[in-house]
Amino acid sequence: MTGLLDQIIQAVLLGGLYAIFALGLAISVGVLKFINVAHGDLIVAMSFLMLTLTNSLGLPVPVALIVLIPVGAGVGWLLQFGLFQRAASQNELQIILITFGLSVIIQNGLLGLYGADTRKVTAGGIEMASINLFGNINAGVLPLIIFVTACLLIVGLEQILYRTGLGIQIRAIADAPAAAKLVGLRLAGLMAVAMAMVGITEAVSGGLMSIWTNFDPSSGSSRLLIAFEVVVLAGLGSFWGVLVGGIIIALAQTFGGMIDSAFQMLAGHIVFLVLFLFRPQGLFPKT
Amino acid sequence: MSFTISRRKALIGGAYAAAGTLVNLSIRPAFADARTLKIGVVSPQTGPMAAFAEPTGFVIERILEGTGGFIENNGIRYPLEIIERDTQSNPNRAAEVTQELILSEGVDVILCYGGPENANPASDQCELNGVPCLSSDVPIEPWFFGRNGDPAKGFDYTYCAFFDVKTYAGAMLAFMDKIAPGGTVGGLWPNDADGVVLSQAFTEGFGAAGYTIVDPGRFDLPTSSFSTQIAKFRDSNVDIVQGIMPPPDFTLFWTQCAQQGFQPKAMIAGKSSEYPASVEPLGEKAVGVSVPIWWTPDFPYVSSIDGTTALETARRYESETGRQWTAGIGSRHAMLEVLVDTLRRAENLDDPESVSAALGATKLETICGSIDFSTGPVPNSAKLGLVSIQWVKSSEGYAFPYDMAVVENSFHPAVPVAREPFPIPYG
Repeated sequence: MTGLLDQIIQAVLLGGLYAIFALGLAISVGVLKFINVAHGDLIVAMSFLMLTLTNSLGLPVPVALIVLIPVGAGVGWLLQFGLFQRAASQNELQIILITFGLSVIIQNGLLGLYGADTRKVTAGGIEMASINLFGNINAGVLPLIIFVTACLLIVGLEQILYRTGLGIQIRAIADAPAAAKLVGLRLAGLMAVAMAMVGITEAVSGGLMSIWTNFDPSSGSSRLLIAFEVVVLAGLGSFWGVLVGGIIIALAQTFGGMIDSAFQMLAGHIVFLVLFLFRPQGLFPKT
Repeated sequence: MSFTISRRKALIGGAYAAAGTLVNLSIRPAFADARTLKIGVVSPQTGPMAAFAEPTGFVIERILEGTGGFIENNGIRYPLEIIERDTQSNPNRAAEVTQELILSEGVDVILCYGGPENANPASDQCELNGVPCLSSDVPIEPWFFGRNGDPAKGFDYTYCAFFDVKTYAGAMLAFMDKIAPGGTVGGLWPNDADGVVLSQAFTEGFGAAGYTIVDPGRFDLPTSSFSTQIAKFRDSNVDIVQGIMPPPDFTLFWTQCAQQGFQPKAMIAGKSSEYPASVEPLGEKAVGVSVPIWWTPDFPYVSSIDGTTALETARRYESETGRQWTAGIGSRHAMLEVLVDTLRRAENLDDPESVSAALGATKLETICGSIDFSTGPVPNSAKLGLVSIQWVKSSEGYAFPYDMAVVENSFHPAVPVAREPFPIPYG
């Protein structure tokens, strides 16, 4: 019984990681209304940047994470302003093709810069540390930090998008761009701000993921798949739904793994497909 | 990386050869015609198996230095060139670069190594193209049966010198008998050639030896969490975990064990803890982790080329590269010794069949011990001995924080034991 409880706790924590990973995609799909195929690769690029900051420049891990956040925001802002916005003015398909190209460029750029090696950032003991919750159930400190960070990011995003003037403007241009323009909103600037938020989530998830697990230049696409499933499960526009979606996928993988390790990945995909069949609009759609 | 160096050496060698021709024209008439002999090395320089390839450049230099960049065959001195190519730890790429070595570079023999992912596709290419090839750092059975080898026929051109599964299992069993006799063993066997072979070896062989085997099933790598496996091990009171995964995956597993409070008495981490670079991120957690290994600086053997001892070679590697020794130095060195010896003995260097026959007839005392292709469990294979080691804190005055201590030597009795096996200390 405690074994089952332990598994559920570990799965919930892993769900936090999946959620943090999917948050950026949830914004671009739900608010900016386009699918960013390069999302996974941008996260992996952030992981590599984290590696450079900690290994080559010798920054402590928390400092490196803080440095990473404005970098992520800047990259997001520049991408939207310089690239995606121009493409979006053409048609919807074009922007997907452009993110596809971006994904290829990032992967090969990383391959050229860092080589094909699988990497991991070491954070000096924190990844080994654990807290005894009760009985013989332990939770790792790092997974807890990641889970809490995911919750904080969700709260922050909800607050910004649904409680501030900026958020209302962003949602206005997302829902009805023509009407928003009529009332004098600056479309390009607001979209870029939204993409900067995506960049921040990418920086945070890339930074944390580099400590949690291994990455190599081509690992972006496998992460994109999980992020996609989580976003679709969550439903458009719902950030808490992203957390629930992440936990559902992680639970499915864990229960699959309990039957046989070979079912671990498969179980996650099957649960996604079944839920998708019954609720194609997602679990908690807001729009 | 060693490409330029080897070429430079070959050029210098070529200059000497030219000079030699002028001086000794009457004594060695065939001298001027001696073509360059080329050894191709198919090497996982980057990617998850990169740790295997770390010492290759150093060893190639040592071999070129030891031989003076020449191989003498039937009284003729041939310049020697060694060409290394990167597989990126990718089986398709391994086949590609092997083809490139054979077709564009025209190599005489090929050395490939680093798990079935690298050695098998490279060996297959050599067999197809009729180029003699030696594989190492891949256990014999995954190499032989992974390539659909027929024990009644063997192969025409490809050979393998490494430990076999029986020796590997035996060495682990001997170690386990001293740590937790008759205990419970948890298996971390991924869904690849090594994982499948080991899971069979354990579930079939070790049950009979009185151990209970807990096998959570084959899983795909890389994975983001090992918590289901850890829970299963903990619920079954596993004493010893045996895994065969690349270094980053083992790091993740061992990290999660610590996070989730699972403390086995012993951790036998194949394919990763053979390498100092891969236990280094573990810090204190490395102490006690064990693995059967095919070479350490304590091996009482010398190079057949210049008589350098195992210890001297390891220390020289450390002072030249600033990195700690790895077992790959020993096997790579021994394999190149075998290939040099083969090229020296081959009756007709222009006939791959004759070179292959010479390779198959090898009986050589190398830095890694004796290599003889009549000793393996299947044709075309030579069996190496194994000792079990555990990672310990280094003694004072050694430049690196952790070092290997030989704790069990039943399967290679010539190697001295440094200390008794000990359960992993959790502090």
